[in-house]
Parts: sequence; structure tokens; C-alpha cells
Amino acid sequence: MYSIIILTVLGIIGMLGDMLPLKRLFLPVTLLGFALAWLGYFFEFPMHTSLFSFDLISMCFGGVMLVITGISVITVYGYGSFKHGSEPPYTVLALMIFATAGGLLMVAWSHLMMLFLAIEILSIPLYVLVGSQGDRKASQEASLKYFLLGAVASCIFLFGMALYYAGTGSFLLGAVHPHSLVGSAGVLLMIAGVCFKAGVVPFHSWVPDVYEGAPTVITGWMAALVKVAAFGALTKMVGSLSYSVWGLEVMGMAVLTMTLGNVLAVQQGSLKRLLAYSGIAHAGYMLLVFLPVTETSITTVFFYGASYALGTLGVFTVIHILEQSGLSATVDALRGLFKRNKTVTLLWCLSVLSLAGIPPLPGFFAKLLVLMHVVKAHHSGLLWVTFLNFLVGVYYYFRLILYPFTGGLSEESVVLSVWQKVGVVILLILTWGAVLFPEFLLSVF
Amino acid sequence: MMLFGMIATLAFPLIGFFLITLLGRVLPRPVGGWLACVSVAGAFISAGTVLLTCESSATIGLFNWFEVGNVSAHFSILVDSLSLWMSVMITGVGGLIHVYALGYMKDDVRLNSFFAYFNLFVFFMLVLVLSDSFLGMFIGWEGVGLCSYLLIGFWYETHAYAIAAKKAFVMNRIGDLGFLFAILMMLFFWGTTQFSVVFIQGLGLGAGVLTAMTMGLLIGAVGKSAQIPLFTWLPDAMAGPTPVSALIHAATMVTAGVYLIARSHVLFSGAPLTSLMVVGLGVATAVFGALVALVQRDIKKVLAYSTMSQLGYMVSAAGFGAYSAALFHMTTHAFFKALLFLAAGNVIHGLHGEQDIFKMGGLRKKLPFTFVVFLIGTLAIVGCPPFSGFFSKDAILAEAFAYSRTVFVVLCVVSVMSSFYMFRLLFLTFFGNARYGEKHPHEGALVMQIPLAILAVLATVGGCLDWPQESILTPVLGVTLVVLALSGGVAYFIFGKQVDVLAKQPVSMGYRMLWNKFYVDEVYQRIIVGPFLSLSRGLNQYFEIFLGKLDVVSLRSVRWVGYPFKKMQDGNSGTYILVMTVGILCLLVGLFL
Amino acid sequence: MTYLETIPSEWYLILSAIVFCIGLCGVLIRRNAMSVLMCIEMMLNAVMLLLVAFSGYYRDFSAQIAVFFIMIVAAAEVAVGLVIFSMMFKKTSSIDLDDWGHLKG
Repeated sequence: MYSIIILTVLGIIGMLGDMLPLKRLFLPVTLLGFALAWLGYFFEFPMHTSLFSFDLISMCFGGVMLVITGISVITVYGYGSFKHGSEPPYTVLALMIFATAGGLLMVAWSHLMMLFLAIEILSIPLYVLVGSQGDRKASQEASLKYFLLGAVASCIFLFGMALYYAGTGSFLLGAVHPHSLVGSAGVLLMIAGVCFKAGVVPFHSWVPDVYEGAPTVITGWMAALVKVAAFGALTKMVGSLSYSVWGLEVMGMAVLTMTLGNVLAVQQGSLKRLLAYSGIAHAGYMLLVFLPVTETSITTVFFYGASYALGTLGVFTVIHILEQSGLSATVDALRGLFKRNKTVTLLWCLSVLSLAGIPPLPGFFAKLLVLMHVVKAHHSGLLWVTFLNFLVGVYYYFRLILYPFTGGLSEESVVLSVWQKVGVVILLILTWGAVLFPEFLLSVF
Repeated sequence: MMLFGMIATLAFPLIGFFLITLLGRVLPRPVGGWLACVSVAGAFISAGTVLLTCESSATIGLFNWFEVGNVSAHFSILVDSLSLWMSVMITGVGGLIHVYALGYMKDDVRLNSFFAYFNLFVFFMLVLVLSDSFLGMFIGWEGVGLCSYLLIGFWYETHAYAIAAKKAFVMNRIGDLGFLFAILMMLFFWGTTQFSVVFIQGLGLGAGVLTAMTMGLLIGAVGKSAQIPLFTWLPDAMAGPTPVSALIHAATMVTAGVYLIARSHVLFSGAPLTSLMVVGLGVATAVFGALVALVQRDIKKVLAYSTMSQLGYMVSAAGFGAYSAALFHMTTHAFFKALLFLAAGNVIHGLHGEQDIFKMGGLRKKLPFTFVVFLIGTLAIVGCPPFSGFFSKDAILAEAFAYSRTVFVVLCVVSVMSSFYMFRLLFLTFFGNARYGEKHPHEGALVMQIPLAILAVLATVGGCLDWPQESILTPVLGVTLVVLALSGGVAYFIFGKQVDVLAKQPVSMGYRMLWNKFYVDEVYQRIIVGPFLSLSRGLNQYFEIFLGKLDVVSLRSVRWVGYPFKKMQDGNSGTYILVMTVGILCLLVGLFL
Repeated sequence: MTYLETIPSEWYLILSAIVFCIGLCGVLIRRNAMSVLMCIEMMLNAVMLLLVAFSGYYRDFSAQIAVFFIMIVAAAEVAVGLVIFSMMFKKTSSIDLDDWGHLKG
């Protein structure tokens, strides 16, 4: 509970940001607050009440989310002060912090109502943040679509929850097994509601449009945060639900998701759309982990989520830097990046290679874990589909690796603001850390 | 103590690398160099302390790299006499060369990055020898390859040097593929590459599998240790600064292949076919290197081919099971070859970059100190008693005698040839008339002389490190002295007098053959690179259309698969909600089925 | 509470399902953003109806508290939605959803 309280207080401070004295302290206080929020887990660990349960899953997924937002806060803070020397965008930062609080709650619920509240606390700031570039029509359109689809998805989740209640008389998952058709239908609708957040086909339609329309810093952050939060929530859900109800459905969704994501990613010219579709494909890989749920599922989904978050943050940070240098976020904008800034190119290559799953980067271990899981499921068709999808993924990611080393559109070197440099260095350190010590993340569960 | 010492050994050069890289722009230039020297010295002291204090061998677990399913990789430090001795040698000789480089490179603009690479090299070399698994070793293996590439091409503004660096890189990658293949086999069979598991379970495999695995390791060793057929990068690697040639391409990195074979001797002993190939390749390389070295004109190239030849000695020794002799020769070779290279560096430095021995001569009086240490190095390498090379060569020859008479005879002939080309080098450089024109040769600074002096002492007394157990010392002693006197005499007769050597160049066919290194580079160009290029051109011409078609077809089929999905993404939020609704309906229908 | 039980619980289930579907159909058919928002509210109402009905059926108050939460969240959502619509109106002078389909592919 401490972590959520601390984040809420930080969010309120951010809301008042423009009026507060000692603005210089805002960033240190926020980062310190994040650290305290994570330490907060240790003071009450494990805590189980009828509404919340702060257990190992919430601690680990929550930690990853705090790191994601911490890094993004640094780059966003720098973004504001970099442009025209204006104030850092305190409101944006505050909304990001609130959304993170929602994310933390999404992996710390035990009562379904809390899960619903968590999803909404995560979503509502996101609707605003996606539309925060008021002068770009695409940003507004993305915000509109995300809001409409999100509202419908919330209704579907809620209806599922109500059906589950009607079938079992309880808001606690696993307390009563849904024998009735009504309860089972409720379970499926709730899974659908969470899958919407994760970007699983057929609830994926918002992903490419929103990723493209949203301001790039926000895109990277939300891509990482929402995926980790949604899969954390799914992990908590499916563990206490009977496999026979959702198993086949989820398998179908997983196959559709990774295939659609990869097939459409190949055809994209816009970087942000490409990464959106590849993000959908990654959601498909992560769904495979629940077929069936075994003792390694949590480790796999956690490691996959963390490595995906790291790669995505790196990639979108680079895209944002490219956009700042005056280029639009197309694949061609990458040309000549190597000559323009070597550190940024290094971050780009490491992140993309990690997303593609090339050893020894963390993405490789993540994919290896998923493959092993599929092998253990003894389903050869599924194995082949997964493997083909990995190959298609490698194909389009390698295109992205080659572009920075070809002749460029622009020759001027890319200049970073101080906070962006800090963000890039932190991401590089984390990536190398994950290369050297993947066991640190692999052995927590 | 042991734990602390070993971690310190690894940490010192790594910290040095990071400090110099991060502070490179801030530090005044000599400080970066001194920092590098201090870090290697620290590593030497810690490794030495562990060697002196610890009697038993042990494994120090560092951390689990990963554990995925039944495949696992742990990083631990293997402490036994072999790895400890290797690390003391690497840091010791490496430290001396670091100090030497302080003087040699003092005018270079990129001094700090030179020392950063140097420290990184020492770190990766230590990782290579201290790992207790093939995977850890492979990381060090790749790391030293990277540093070697960076340092060969250190003066990359010169186009030829950059080409040489690329050649070394590519040749080494071919070898690395073999090593990687062996590692993948190990992971497939045992899920781990720990020595402790591999060497115990290794012999349980069938002979065929074991042969394939050891062949992979052998290809790796051949690439790194510049054996036939992957040797052509080593002479070209002399493009790097001389301290680099001394440290990486003579004393340490190129011996990694020998270390690999010696370390995995359990596997090799179970694969007689591979062992036979090891001996064959080693002997062939020894002969080849010695033959080519007979006629080279570049002082560093002579030493490079002599390194190749000596590596052939070690590899063949490892092949016929004389592991301790091979490692003993590796140690003494590190001493005297580093000494020779550094002395050659002194000569080059003194003559402002001149490397052609036909444009030297008579330097004995101008560079007396260099002459003395070079003489010591020469006597050591030709195996003159009581210098160190005598004992280590004797150890190898003794084992060769027991293994096969043919190999023994061939290696003896190589030994005679090596004494001839070394004396030729000595006489052409330091005796005879001065042919260097208007230059004024001068001795290097004190920082360059002290390491030379220490190495000279080591090259002299290094033989007492390991007295051969079964020796054929007495007969060999006499033979050696006679051979030495003869070859030295012949060399002096041809090259030592005050004659115009250039005029005396014999232009026979054999000479041209040797001068062009048996045309190996040209042959590779003809039979591998040329056909490969024309094949690629052909492919480019005829298959590009095909590949283009294939690309188009696959893209089109992907498009075709993606068409309905793309239709769904028409930008209208109504469609999106419809897709969601249909999805929900399908889920619910699935429930009823 | 007895009057609730005079009607079988299935009827509540069917009623709320019908209301939910009407709302969903409205979202699908209507292109006016305000109407879509109202249809979404209708779907939420269906959920609340179901919760309240079964709260009575199970004699359990937690569902009724849940309904309050849903109302509050719905209010917050509507507030954000209205802001987005007003921004939209400023740009195009209409709140027709079909005018906003430029991001696609």
C-alpha cells in the first residue's frame, strides 16, 4: 500500500508543480519517491487483504514498472526544458505518475473491483497523455480512438465481472470455481478486457493508431508500462482460473496475435507503426506462456516483459531523438545515424537486437524461455508457428539494424540534452546489466 | 585470500580500461599510460600472490549467467597451476610491454585509447585463461580478437593497416565458427560447458561425435594460433604498433590456441584422428614458417614467421601429448619473443620507422644495449644452452623422439633453419656496413630499456622454471652446439661481412618461391576469394532476379496473408469496435462448443 | 428485499444482457460522438443493473458498493471524453467520428 500512497502524493505534487517553490528539487524528489515506493514493498511483504495482495508478483512487476516510469520521467523532464528553454511539462509528469500507480495496482489486487479500478486509473491518464500534443491532429485522433475503444473494453470487462458475480456470488477469483456457463462467460469477458490493454488480437486495433499518434516519449513509455501491467494482471488472473474454460481460446488468440503482428509489421514504413505491430507480436509470444500455466510461466512472462520493456524504451528513445533532429519517424530517418551519433546508434542496435532475440541479449533468453515452454506443451503445430514468427520478426528487425549504417539523408550530428544523455546512459547500463546478469531476473520466482 | 586475489586480478585491468576510457579526455596523456601500467602491475601482483600462496586448485564461483530449462551457464574462476601460471605470465610480460609502450608510443595522439585497448586486451586474455567453462573462454576469445582487431588497425588512417586489421578479423571469425560449433555441441549434449562436466562426460560419447567436437576446437585453435591454413593474417598483423606485435601477436593471444588444446586434452586424447591432424598441421606450420622466414626483409615479418614456426612447434607438441612441454615452450617463447620484438621495436624506433633489414647493418656500435638484448633473445630462440629456449625445445624434441622419428627429424631441421634465419637477422641488422643512409640511430628512453633488461634476464634463466624430466639432453647438447656453430658460421659468411648485400641477392626460383611465401596469399586469392567473388557476381547476375522474385513472392504472400487484417485497420473507430465485438462473440461461441 | 425475489434471477440476467447489447449496437451504429458516449453509459447501466440484482439475490452488499465505484469511474471517464470531444470540435467543427480516420494501415 505504501508504494501506491507515495506515488499518489508524488502525482499531486506534480499537479501543483508550476506553483511550488524549489522546482529544481522536483526530479530528485520524484526519483527518490520511486525508490521509496519500491522499498515500500519490503515493509509490508507479503500483505494479503480482501482487496489487495502485495506478493512477489506485485513486487517484481511493480519494480519493473517503476524503473520504466523512472527512466521516462527523466527523458520527458529533459524534453520540456530542451525545447525553447521552457518549463518541464509538470502536468504530463504527474499524469505519468498516476498511471504508474494504476499499473502497480493492476498487479496487486485480490478483489476484482480493485482490478477494474486499477485498469481505469492506468487508462484515464493515458487517454489524456496520448492527446497531449494538442497541435497535432494525429495526437488528438489517437486520443479519441483510444478513449472510445478503451471505454468499450472497460464495459466488456465490467460486464464480465458482473456475470462472474452472477455465476459465483463472489468478486474473488479462484474462491469459487465457475461451474456455470454464466460464470465462465464472465471469466472470458474479463480476460478479453485485460487482453485489450495488452494489445492482443482481436482487441489490438487501437495499438498501431495510438502508437503512431501519441507523442513519441509517451508511446515508448506506455508501450512498456501497459504491456508489463497487463501481463502482470493476466498472470494473477489465469493462475486461479481453470484452464479448461479459457485454454483453447487463449491459444487461438496467441496464434492470431503473433501472426497478425508480424505479418503487418513487415509491410510498415513508419517506425512507430512497425514497432506497434511488433509489439502486438510480442504480446502473442507472451500469451503462449499460459498454455498451460506451469511453475516456469511466471518467470517467463516476467523476464519477457522486462526485456521487452527495456528494448522498447531504448527504441522509442532513439526515435524521439531522431524526431527532435527534424526527421519524421519513418524507417528512412534511420539512414546515416551511425555517422551522426555513435552512442545513440549503439543503443538502437542493442535494443533492436534484443527485441529480435539475438544472443546474448536479454530478448534471446526471453524467446528461448517461451520456446521451451511451447516445447513442453507438446504441441508441434504451435511450435512451428512460433518458430516461423520468430524468423519473420528477425527479418524485419534486421532491416532496422542495417539502416543506420547506410548513407544518410542528414549529416549533422545529433545533439542530446543533458537529461536525454542521462536516460540513454541508464538504458545502456541496464541493457548491459541484463546481458551480464540475466539470472538476477530469471531467479526471482 | 584466493578469492580476493583472483577477483583483483580480473578487476584491475577492467577498472583501468574503464578509467582510461571515461577520463580519457580529461587525463593528461602520460597519466593514462601510467594508469594502465599500474593496473596491469596490480593484476600481476595479485595473480603472483595467489600463485605463491595457494597450493591446491579450486573453482571460485562468481555468478550464474543464466539457467534456462536444462541449459545453464555459470561464470566461475578456475584456479589451478595452469591457469595461474598463464595469468602470471600474461600480466608479467604484459606489464613489461605496457611500460615499454609508454616510451614507444609517447608521441602518439591517441595514446590514451591505445592503453585503454591494451588494458582491455589483458582483461579478456585473463578471462580466457581463468574461465572454467568453454563459454567463458569463448567470451575471452572473442574479446581478445576484438582488441587485436582494434590494435592492428590502430593507425587506421593508413589504408593497408585497416585492410590488415580486417583480414585478421575475418580469418579469426572462420576459426571462431569452429569453436562455436564445438560449444553448441556441448550445450546440446550436456546443457553446460563447464570443464568439470565436459571432461568427465566427454569420453562417454562416441568416437565420431568426439572427433567432430575436437575438430571444431581445432579449427578455433588454428585460427587463433595462425596455423596452416588460417595463418596469413599473422604476418599482416605486424601493421600494428610494435608493442602490440610483442604482446598480442607473439607472447599471449596467439598462444591461446595451444592453451585451448592443452586445456581440453582429455577430449583430444579420445579422438586420435584429430590428434593426428593437430600434429600434422603443427609440423607443417613449423616447416612453412621457418622456410619463409629465411628470406624475409622486414625485421618484423621475420619475427612473425618465426612466431608462426614456434607456434607450430607448440601445437604439434600438444598434438602428440606433450602438453607440459608445449606450455613450457609457450612460456619461454613469450619471454624471448617479446624481447626480440621489443628490441626490434628499439631498432625501428632508432631508425625512425625503417623496417627493412637490408637498409640497416652495423648497428652494433650505435645501439649497444639493443644489440646485447637482441643477441640474448637470438641465442634463446635458437636453443643455445644455457638459455631458456634450449630447455623448452629439448623438452619438445624429447617427446617428439618418443612419438615418431619422422616428426623428430623434421622438427630438428626446423630448429636448424630457425637458427639460420635468426643469425641472418642478427648479422644483417647489427653487423656489416651501415646501410641506413643519413639517419642517426639512437637508443630508446629508459622506460624502454628497463623492460628489455628484465625480459633479457627472463629469457636467459627461464629454462630453470621447468627442468625436463625425461631428457635426451646430453646427445642433443653436442648436436645443438655443432649445428649452432655451423648455421651461425654460414650466416656470418653470407651476411656478416662488409659487403653490399643487396648485390648478393640470389634470384633463384626457390628464393622467389620463399620470398612470396609460397604464393599462399595469391593461391587463396585465386582459389577461394576469386571464385567466391565471381560466384557472387554470377549469383548477382543470374540469381538476383531469382532472389528478387523470391523476395517479391514472399512479400506478396505475406501481404496476401495480411490483406484481411489490413482491411480491418481502416482507421475508422467503428470498424475497430466491430472487430472487438466479433472477437468477443467468437470467444463466447467457443465456450459453447 | 423480498419483492426482488418475486422475479426469477435469470430475467435480470436477460434484461441486462439485452440492455448491454443495445448499448453495444448503438456504439457500432451511431457516428455522433455524444450518442456513442451515451451508448457506452447504457452498457455501464446494464452492468450496474446486473450487479444490484444479484446483490439482492445473494444478500451481499459488496456488489452495491461496486456499483458506486463504477458510477464514479464512469463520471471521470465522461469528463475526459467530453474534453476530447471538445478538442475535436475545435479542430473540425463537427463531432462525427467518421471525420477522424486518418491513422490507418
